[in-house]
Amino acid sequence: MTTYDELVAAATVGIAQRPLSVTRLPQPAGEHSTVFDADPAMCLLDAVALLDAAQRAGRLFATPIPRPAPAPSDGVPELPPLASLIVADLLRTGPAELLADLLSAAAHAGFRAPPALLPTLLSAAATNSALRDGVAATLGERGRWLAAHQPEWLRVVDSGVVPVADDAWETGRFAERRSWLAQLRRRDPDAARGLLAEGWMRETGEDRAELITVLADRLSAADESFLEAALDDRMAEVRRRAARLLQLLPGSAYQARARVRAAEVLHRERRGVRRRLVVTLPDELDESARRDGLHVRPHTPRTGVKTWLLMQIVAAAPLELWTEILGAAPRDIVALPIADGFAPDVHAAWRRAAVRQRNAEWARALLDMSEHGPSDAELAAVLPHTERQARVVALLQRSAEAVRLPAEVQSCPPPWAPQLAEAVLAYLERELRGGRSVPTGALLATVARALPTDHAAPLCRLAEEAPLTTGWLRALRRTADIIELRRRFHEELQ
Amino acid sequence: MLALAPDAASAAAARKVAAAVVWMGAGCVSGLVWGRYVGSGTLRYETVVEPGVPAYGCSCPSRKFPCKHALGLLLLWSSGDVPDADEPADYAVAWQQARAERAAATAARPRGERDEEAAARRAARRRERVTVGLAELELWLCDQVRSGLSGVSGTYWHAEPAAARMVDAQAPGVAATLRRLSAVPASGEGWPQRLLAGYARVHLLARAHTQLDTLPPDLAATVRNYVGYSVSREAVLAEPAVRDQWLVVSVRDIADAAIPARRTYLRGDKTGRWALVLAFDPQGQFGGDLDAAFEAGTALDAELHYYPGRPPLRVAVGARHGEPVAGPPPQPRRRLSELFDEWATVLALDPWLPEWPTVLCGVPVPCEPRWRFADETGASVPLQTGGIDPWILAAVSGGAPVTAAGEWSADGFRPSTVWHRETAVPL
Repeated sequence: MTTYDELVAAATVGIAQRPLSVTRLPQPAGEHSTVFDADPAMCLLDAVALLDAAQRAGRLFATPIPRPAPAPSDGVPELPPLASLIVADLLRTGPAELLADLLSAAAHAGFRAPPALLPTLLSAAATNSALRDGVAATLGERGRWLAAHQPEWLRVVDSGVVPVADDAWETGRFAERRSWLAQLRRRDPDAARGLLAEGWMRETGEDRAELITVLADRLSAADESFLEAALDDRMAEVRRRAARLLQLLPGSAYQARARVRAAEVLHRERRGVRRRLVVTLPDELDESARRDGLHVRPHTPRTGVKTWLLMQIVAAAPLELWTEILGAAPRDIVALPIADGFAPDVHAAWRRAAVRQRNAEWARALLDMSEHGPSDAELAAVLPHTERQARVVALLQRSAEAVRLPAEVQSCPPPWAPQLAEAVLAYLERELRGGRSVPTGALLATVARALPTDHAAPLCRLAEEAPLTTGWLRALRRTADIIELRRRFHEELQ
Repeated sequence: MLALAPDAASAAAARKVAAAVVWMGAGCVSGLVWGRYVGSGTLRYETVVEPGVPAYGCSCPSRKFPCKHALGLLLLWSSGDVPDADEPADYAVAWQQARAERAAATAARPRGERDEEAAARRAARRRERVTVGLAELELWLCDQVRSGLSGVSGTYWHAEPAAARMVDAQAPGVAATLRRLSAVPASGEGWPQRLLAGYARVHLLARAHTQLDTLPPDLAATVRNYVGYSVSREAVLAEPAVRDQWLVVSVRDIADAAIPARRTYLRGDKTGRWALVLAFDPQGQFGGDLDAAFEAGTALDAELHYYPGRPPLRVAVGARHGEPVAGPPPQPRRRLSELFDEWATVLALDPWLPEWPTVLCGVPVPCEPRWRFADETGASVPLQTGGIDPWILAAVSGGAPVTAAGEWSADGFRPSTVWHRETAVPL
């Protein structure tokens, strides 16, 4: 009997060197041994042809294999076909922000992504953080089941609301443990802190830095001693985050220390009828200041050491300090002149404090006085949604400084109130009629995302009067197209 | 004008010849251009051109047609440097008469008869060339086996000369097979067996070709297909049609082939027959080609004509009745064992068959090093994932059995379409 392996071995070496006489072949090829050629090389090829056919036609070894656990069934309906098509198109072409909006809207309307789109959605969200929340919200059971197959997909799941098992704290992955702790914190703040403190030193530095932020929810005086202790942590990021939380804790020892330091560097000086603020900087930071998270060396090389010190000290103090010691409202305080050209630094510190402390009154005062300075979306975000939009409307109606407007408009997240929509359209019309150049792509992208869908018609009319020679026509048409796309998508969700 | 030249060298030569000084007694009248070419020494050629036809005549011994003299004269004429004459030169008249007589002689016989005779002559000549080529190839194959395959280990192009010879021998199918085999020695572990099996299949084809006249007609047609004899679409469309509601189950683009191709598998609703529509486009665009416009999941009432061969698979699409409509998911095979039986049956009909269309119901299993596809009994086969995103298959499946259509080969299942409930999803 001549086997296939013997034939291959002989042909590999060459039958000139290793002659081989084919005798009989294994079944079923063996039945045809009569057709062999007399020439040994031909005969070998004949035999291989027979064995090859027999092998290919033979049954593959159908390995029994354990099947994966199936995905749980999901009562949430899939996106309707047209909406799915829009999602598939946007996945290919972008813009990602628009896709994220639509996905969030879909999740809000009670839909999940169709299974066929899940791999692309997960891969896109794994590399583009703008998509993460929208994708996580529309995964459904099927998407979460699929994501478990690839580590980078799992990270997308983790950014969403993770349903956690009872024993997640002991056995879960990090994201599950964090979610579990956050849920406990909402129910029973003290129990959550107690649990965190219990295993605190067994956590890795990175995990400690992440877990400590859970305490931001329902922060109270009861957390103070734990956070104070965390100021001595080995990990710099843990120390920094603990300091941030203590800054927000009214009446804490940290706040008292911060107030003392701040009151020392900035105080009022009266010269006749003129009043102004004067800065006195310490020569160096004492041990307690360092422990409270203040640094001698600036983070950015361009910032001067003095400026850096001043900003840190002022920003760490509660804003109420200034209304108390200066006996004036924020509006009047920010109007005070500041000696030695420190005004920009002190205002920057106040802006930072207003953002961290989410103080709307200070934010309002600072925004009003900085109307001619750089716009500050972070600060504007402290204001209530409607107030923020109203400010932009007022700016748009009155202002001729086109330079700043795009940034202001872009800082208004959707949905836009009708007043804002109309003001933006009027602004675009002014720009177009005035023969100005086409607004930046970023501004139009914001308009395309946020303009209410029933405002597409005026935009199309505007596009019609745009001169062919400029980029206006194309830019406006594209914007109108995206708004129309949104309209169709939302219609599908009805 | 120079586009008429047989090659670039002739065009360049013609430009040199297109100078008035080298032509004697050139003239033109009523669509006829003539001139006597005066070369070095005593060289004289009489050249006649009829630009409107175009037709060329020249007394030079050149084997190229049209020769550089005819082209040169044509260029000269087109630049307006040939003077009008009252009467054509004698040799021009003689050439024109001879041409007219030849034309009359061919026209005398009925056209169909003439075509058939010519076609039969061409076919016989081609068969002869293929036969000689394949006999040479057999010697080459035997040489490979005698001297040992190890000599080509790790190389990419060892069979290229043999493939080029097969192109000359007018066996393009064999040439393409040899080119694919050229890459096998660099394809990693187990290549000697793969290469030897490939050689053996070519050898089997060559042997079958020597017995072409005694083989059953459908098998002979299959052999001719693999060798690369083409069958005209007109001839196929003349075969009886199979009318059915044809469901498009799988569309696959073969982008890395010599000519990018699109393979579309259809299955007849009533007949249950498989049909393959092939579309080719050198640019890989397939725009406007109806045969490339099928969409998986649609169904079309159409008349298909099978190309000769066994098992019948490739078709030419004849009459279409109406527009494609959304079709139902195809009925799948639930057990791999049924597929194995069908595969054995079709391989018995055609031992060279590389793949066969199939619709399976099962669960895709992502596992290392290769995905597998498991049926309801738990048996599984390798899942070929080249060119597709298997995760879409997994996402649609969700770990539960799904219907998937694609190609089956000895290497496993290569899906192209999966059904999500009633909707076809291309992979």
